[in-house]
Amino acid sequence: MALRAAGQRAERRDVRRAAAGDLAAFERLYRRYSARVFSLSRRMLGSVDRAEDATQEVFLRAWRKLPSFRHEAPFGAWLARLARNHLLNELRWRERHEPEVQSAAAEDLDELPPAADAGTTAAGGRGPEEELALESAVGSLPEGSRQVLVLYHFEGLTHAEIAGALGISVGTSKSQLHRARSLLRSALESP
Amino acid sequence: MSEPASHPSESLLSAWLDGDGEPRERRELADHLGRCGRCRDLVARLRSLSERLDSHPDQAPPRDLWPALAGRLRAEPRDLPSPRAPRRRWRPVWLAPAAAALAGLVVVIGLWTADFFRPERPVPPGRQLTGLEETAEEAVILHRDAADAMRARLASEALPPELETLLDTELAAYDAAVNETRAALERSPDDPELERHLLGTLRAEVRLLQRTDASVEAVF
Repeated sequence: MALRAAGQRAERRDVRRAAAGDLAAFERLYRRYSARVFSLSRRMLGSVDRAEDATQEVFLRAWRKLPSFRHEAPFGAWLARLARNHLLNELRWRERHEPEVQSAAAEDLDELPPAADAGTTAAGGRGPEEELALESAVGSLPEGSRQVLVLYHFEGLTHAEIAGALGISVGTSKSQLHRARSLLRSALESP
Repeated sequence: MSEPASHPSESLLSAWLDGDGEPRERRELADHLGRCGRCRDLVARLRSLSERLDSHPDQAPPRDLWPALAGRLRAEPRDLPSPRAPRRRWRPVWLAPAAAALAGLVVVIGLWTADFFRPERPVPPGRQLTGLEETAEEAVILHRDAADAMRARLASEALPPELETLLDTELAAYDAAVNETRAALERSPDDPELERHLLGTLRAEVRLLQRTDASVEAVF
């Protein structure tokens, strides 16, 4: 508990310093949260290249906006929201300008290193290969289903929040989630 | 006991797992699951998948993005409130009545918006989220940011002292209301009325600041 509180204090200090222009403090925040932002980007956009670009863009925006950050929410939650908004805008832009890009395949999964905390195995005792298989299966879901699944399971949003973010109805959000789970289950259970 | 001949769809079972569905429908599904090993097995696999997704670890980027990012950051401007051109310091003869009129306007706006400070007042539907924000929490942060930026702008103005005092009083009242609502939210974090009240207060504060800023711009 004391360690956690000390970590939170250190993070708040880094946020304040970064807001004042301290790049070293911002790098510590980047090191702490880059896997989180990259994973969300990778899952939402479906491609490692796009996810890398998006990760840089999100941290760039965070750097610009930090002076107005008021510690009303934890920095991680603020950054996640910033990332979600950026990614949703990017997806909307792609929908308008690159309609042919429907589902980004998991074409470059072998570029990915093992999971960030996979020195051991993930919860449930699974190894990095199984986690990569899950990432791959998520990446090959149809875009609409994938977005809902990512926001629901990885980001912890409610259906009402997802519906608001994606501009769909709550019912559509639910049916996309059930469809995504069904497709994922089939993909992971097929030999 | 033989298994049922027909089975609910996977989507229905997935929804059942999430606690969705009408009570009668959920009871029927529970009855079915009690009799059907095949559907029980499917529910178990869906549950396992959900748990796996919920606990799935994050992936680090395949290469270190920091060196390239740091280069871009060094060249980046920050989102600081934009400074205005310095205002002229001379005071025309009509300044005093204009300042008085503006102070009166601030009082009227203050009285008009003061009712947001009463927690028991329900927030009318028209004052709820605009749709630009993803969540109430984000809306609060956006409004807080907007209020901060407006305060910084007004702080850079050479306002008449009486107007400055009045504005400070109004803003202190807003700060007190915001702090009080936040304290109440800490005690009841999921109270939607309190969240709406907080957002309503911040909106009123932003409106006050915007109108004051517009009036300052027009009068001085």
